[in-house]
Amino acid sequence: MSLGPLEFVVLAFPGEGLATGVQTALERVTKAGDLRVVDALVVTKHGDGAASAAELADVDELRAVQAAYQLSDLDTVGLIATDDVDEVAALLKPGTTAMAILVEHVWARQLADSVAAAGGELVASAHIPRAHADEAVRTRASQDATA
Amino acid sequence: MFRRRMVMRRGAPLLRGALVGGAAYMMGRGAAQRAQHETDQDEAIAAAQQQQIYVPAPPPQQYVPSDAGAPPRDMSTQLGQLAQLRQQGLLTDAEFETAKARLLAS
Repeated sequence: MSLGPLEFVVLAFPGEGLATGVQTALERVTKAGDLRVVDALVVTKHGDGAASAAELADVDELRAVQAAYQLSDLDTVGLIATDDVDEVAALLKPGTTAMAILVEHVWARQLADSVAAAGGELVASAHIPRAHADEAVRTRASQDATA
Repeated sequence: MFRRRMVMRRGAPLLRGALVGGAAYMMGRGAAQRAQHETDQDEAIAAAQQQQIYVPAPPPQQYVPSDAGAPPRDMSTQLGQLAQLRQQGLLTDAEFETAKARLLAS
């Protein structure tokens, strides 16, 4: 299986908003066209700090969403590993539940394939966190102002 | 009807520290904390994750030309060099005296 670069997104929703939030997120991603949800997992940080993970199909309020997007039928289900669960849980406040979605950048995979077909090479591809991008824009804006 | 199956998740991890040390965008944290994360960022993790950090080019250096064409030379150094040349026999006494006089007059 050739899998393109992936984005690991962790989404937290308050209390009762998990099902609606997950629905919204999956809808947005699948509508994008050049993105594909390849795995999803519910991560909970318990009050005592322990972490646990659950498949969407095993969470009552998410079963319908899970079925709608056929997430259990994906041949990529299972990519998010237990170590990843621990890392996600470390970000969460105790007593919160979040969803981790693994999204494939289909456009980037296709780009790499096209480039390779043209005899070229994708030399590098890196994710620039939004915080870095924001800072670069702010810095440039202040440089423009003083120019 | 969807099929339920046991999902094994014991494979190779994906994140490998990507969410640690501010390499990823952290939701719900204050700007100050985010800035702190950025300064604490683990370079080894960042490198492994192939995070490219943009380093802005330094501001253009002001060119300050030197005020003389020739580099400043210490007169005693030049005298010493003349004396050496005389010792080595490359300058006659007369040539040395002429050169020395010229140097002292400059």
